[in-house]
Amino acid sequence: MARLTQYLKGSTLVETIISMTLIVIILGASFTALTGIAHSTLNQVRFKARFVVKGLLSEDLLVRNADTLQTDFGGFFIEQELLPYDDTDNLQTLVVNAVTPDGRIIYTGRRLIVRTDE
Amino acid sequence: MVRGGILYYTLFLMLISVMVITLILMRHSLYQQTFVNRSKGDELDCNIRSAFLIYRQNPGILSEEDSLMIDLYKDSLAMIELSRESWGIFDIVTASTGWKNLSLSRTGMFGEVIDTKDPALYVADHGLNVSLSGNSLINGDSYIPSGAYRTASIEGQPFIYNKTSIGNVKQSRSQLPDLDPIIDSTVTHLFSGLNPEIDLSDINRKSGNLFENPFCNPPVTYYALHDAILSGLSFRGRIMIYAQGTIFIDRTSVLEDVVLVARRIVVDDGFCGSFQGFAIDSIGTGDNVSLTYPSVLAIISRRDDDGVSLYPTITLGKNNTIVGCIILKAWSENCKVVIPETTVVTGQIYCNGSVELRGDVYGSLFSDGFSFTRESSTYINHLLNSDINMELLPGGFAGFHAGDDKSVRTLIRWLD
Repeated sequence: MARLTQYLKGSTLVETIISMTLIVIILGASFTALTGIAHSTLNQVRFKARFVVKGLLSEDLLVRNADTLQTDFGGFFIEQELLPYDDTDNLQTLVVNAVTPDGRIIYTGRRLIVRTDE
Repeated sequence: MVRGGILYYTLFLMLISVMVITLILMRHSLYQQTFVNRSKGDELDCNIRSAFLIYRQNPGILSEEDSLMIDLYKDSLAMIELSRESWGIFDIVTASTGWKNLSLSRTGMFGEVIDTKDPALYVADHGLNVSLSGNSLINGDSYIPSGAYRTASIEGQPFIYNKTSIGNVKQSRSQLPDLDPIIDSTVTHLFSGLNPEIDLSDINRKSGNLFENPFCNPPVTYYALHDAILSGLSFRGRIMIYAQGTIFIDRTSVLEDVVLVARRIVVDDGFCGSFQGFAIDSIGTGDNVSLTYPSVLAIISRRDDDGVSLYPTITLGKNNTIVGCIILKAWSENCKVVIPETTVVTGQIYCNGSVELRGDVYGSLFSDGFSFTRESSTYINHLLNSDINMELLPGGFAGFHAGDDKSVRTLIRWLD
């Protein structure tokens, strides 16, 4: 017949204090690491932003005005800006930034495009 | 009774927790590394395309057989190496860049952009008007003597349309626009700087007849001391075939992208393929020949060249379809391009002599004048039943640069 009663040896006060300290350290470290990952800019938004920016930079002619253009993509904004290119009159630098609502740039890309005078 | 205090359980729990946290952090780190690499790959790809755009808009930045390093945005973050080599009248341009252990390189074949901004017809002004008869029509801008067309009736065929041309008509100069000087130097180099490697007579035609050399490799030159007969052979890629006499190409040959250099080039009836042929004396094609894009037939000679012909001629057969460029730039005024009826040239024609045009040109034609003979009559600067139509030139066509306008290149195709 199985024994239903087990005897556990009691812990000392020092053991208990050390154990509690270690548990607190483990929980703290875990919380810090996971929070850091959760709040990292490397999240789904940034992943999505990369594809949007890449797609916009793949198009040959997309921005026709020289002003900054901002588009809401749900969770982030895409800013497109045309800058003059120093070396050649008929080229411009297109800069595309993915920006969070609080103004943080989470992804950026740039390329040269042919100037359109329309 | 279980022995052991709470400290042992805690240490065990800590070990498990540390392992879990480590795995999570490693996953995060790997994910981040992959993301950074992919992002950097996208950036390098954008930089490569930007570098090609700089070259296309300013091909002069690359002199012949040259290479240069470009700091795209002047911040040393986007360094691209561009290099150019000639392949016939076209350019092979390579752009390469890298970041840490990532490297990216692309190679493409480029030619001059030819579109509706280029003239459909340019005839040098020697005081003789261009007259149109039958169903001749010029669709596109024209530069012709006195800046106006005349209509005429030849062989009982009067001009049938109300308008002679669709597009602007301007007066031409007495000289044709200059051909891109790089083409001159390239052709000179082709005839003088060849490095013969493989004798065509050494080819074992029984064992194999396909010779292929990718464009990532240096060019391979086959040569013949006298005439070269290309029959039942296939040449593809970066291959040059050189003959001191004549190159004969029969319909069983397969040529793709190769460069032919010879005194004369003769293409047999029914041949189909693409090549750039450079000759000194003459180029002739048989009937039903189809030269696919981007083909080139060219005779470029100077007075001081060895053994230049007094009558350099490019003669096309009947029912030919040529998609590419025809260049005849000779020191002799007796040079001539002959395009018979039912033959269509889609692309560019440049001839500093006369053109006997009875077929159609879908593209651009530069000529010193026209002439053709019917029975006992010779007609100068007359066009009879010929269509020169710039609108029918396919978009994205690449050819050669002529004139003072800014040169802009376009991609023919990627070579990698």
